[in-house]
Amino acid sequence: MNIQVCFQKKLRTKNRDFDMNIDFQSHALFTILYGPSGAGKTITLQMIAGLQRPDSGFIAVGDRILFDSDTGVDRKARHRNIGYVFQDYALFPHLSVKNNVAYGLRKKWNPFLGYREKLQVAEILCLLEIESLTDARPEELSGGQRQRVALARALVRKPELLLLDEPFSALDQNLKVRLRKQLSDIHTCFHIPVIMVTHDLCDVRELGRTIVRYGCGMIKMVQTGRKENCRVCGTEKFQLYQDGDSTAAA
Amino acid sequence: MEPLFLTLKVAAIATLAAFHIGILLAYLLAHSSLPGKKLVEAFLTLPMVLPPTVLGYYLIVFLGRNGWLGKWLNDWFGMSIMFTWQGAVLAASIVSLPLVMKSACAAFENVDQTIENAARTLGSSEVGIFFRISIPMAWRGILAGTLLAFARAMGEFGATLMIAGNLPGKTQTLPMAVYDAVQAGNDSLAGTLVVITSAAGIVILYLSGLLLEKNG
Repeated sequence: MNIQVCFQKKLRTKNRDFDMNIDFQSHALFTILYGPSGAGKTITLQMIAGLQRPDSGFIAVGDRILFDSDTGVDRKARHRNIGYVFQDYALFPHLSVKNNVAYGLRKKWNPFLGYREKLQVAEILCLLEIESLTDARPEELSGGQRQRVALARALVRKPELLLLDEPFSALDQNLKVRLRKQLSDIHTCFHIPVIMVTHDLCDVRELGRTIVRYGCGMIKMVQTGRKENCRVCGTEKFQLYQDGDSTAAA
Repeated sequence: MEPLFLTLKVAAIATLAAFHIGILLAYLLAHSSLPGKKLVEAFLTLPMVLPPTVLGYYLIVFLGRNGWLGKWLNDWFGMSIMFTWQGAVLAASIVSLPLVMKSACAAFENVDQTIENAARTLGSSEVGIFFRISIPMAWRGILAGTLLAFARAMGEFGATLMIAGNLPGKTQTLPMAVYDAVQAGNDSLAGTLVVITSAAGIVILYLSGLLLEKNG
């Protein structure tokens, strides 16, 4: 599936003027947005999900246009059918795990789930190995469990695209390695295109197919597959991506 | 006992009105980023700091028989809320509105924006978010504010006196009855009423405090 993201946005806050000019395409099933913090990676995810509005630009997933400033298309976030796993997971603290996962399945004005929806919830809980936590509250869960609940909540709606915002940043090193493997398995199983934000090079090495490298508010390089076939984006000179380079070259 | 029942009736209806209007205003205020937001908030909080008599004066100007709205109501429907218990309800809801609004606004602002965004990406409409996220997460703050509003409505004196008067059996609420009893030198009645009012106040403040404590 082809994902096309191109937008401009001026952000004005008291302490910072931030101009974003982002343009990339990805055909890969696993796209990684990599760069230093403050480069605008999360904002890019929010634009794709429809939580922020670009000043101008064009965003499409497959043949579905989500935003186009020229024709005035701007789909609401709730109609975009994009799964979003937030950095701090943003689980609903007043709902049990089961109800967190079921949240996106409930029909309008109907407080109860249908038989099919209940089955879907049970299935995804089982698949992510969290069925034992069905009635637990988010505050009782560990970081890794929270992450899986957030994943289940997003995946249960069968989204066309899954956005992951630094899914491993809150976890310790051992867990990271295990969950990265697990995420990779889940991804193979669901076959949904993923865009993941990270500033951890291990994530890039283990998971990345297309790597979009961020500078401050702009894209320095888009790289697909092996590091030899990289496509250059923008005019700025860049450092080639090297294995073992552990700090972001901003 | 008549003043007690009237007070409870007036305070209950006034709180119900303040509850709904206050929550709605609080939600809009908590979610707006318009430059005039603070000014609107200041106007809505005004009844909390104004002397009740000033508030009563405003109400008379608006709703008195010769007031802007009152004249119109009188001419077309032949009704007036001056010197009725409905007038007392109006006065009480206006003074208690800021209490609901302030606590609800703080409670709504406490709800993490990211959680609302998560609901948006899961297909929830704005109304859905209000009922399924904001209200369930902010209910403690809202309820605490509503309890305070009820206590304030029960104790309303100045504005009520000016718009509804002090007609025994018709608009005489508990605070009025205390005033009357003291004026008439009926100390034992005044004492009883004072104890009842104070006890109700303590219970309400204690419950409200409990609710907010668990919130933090």
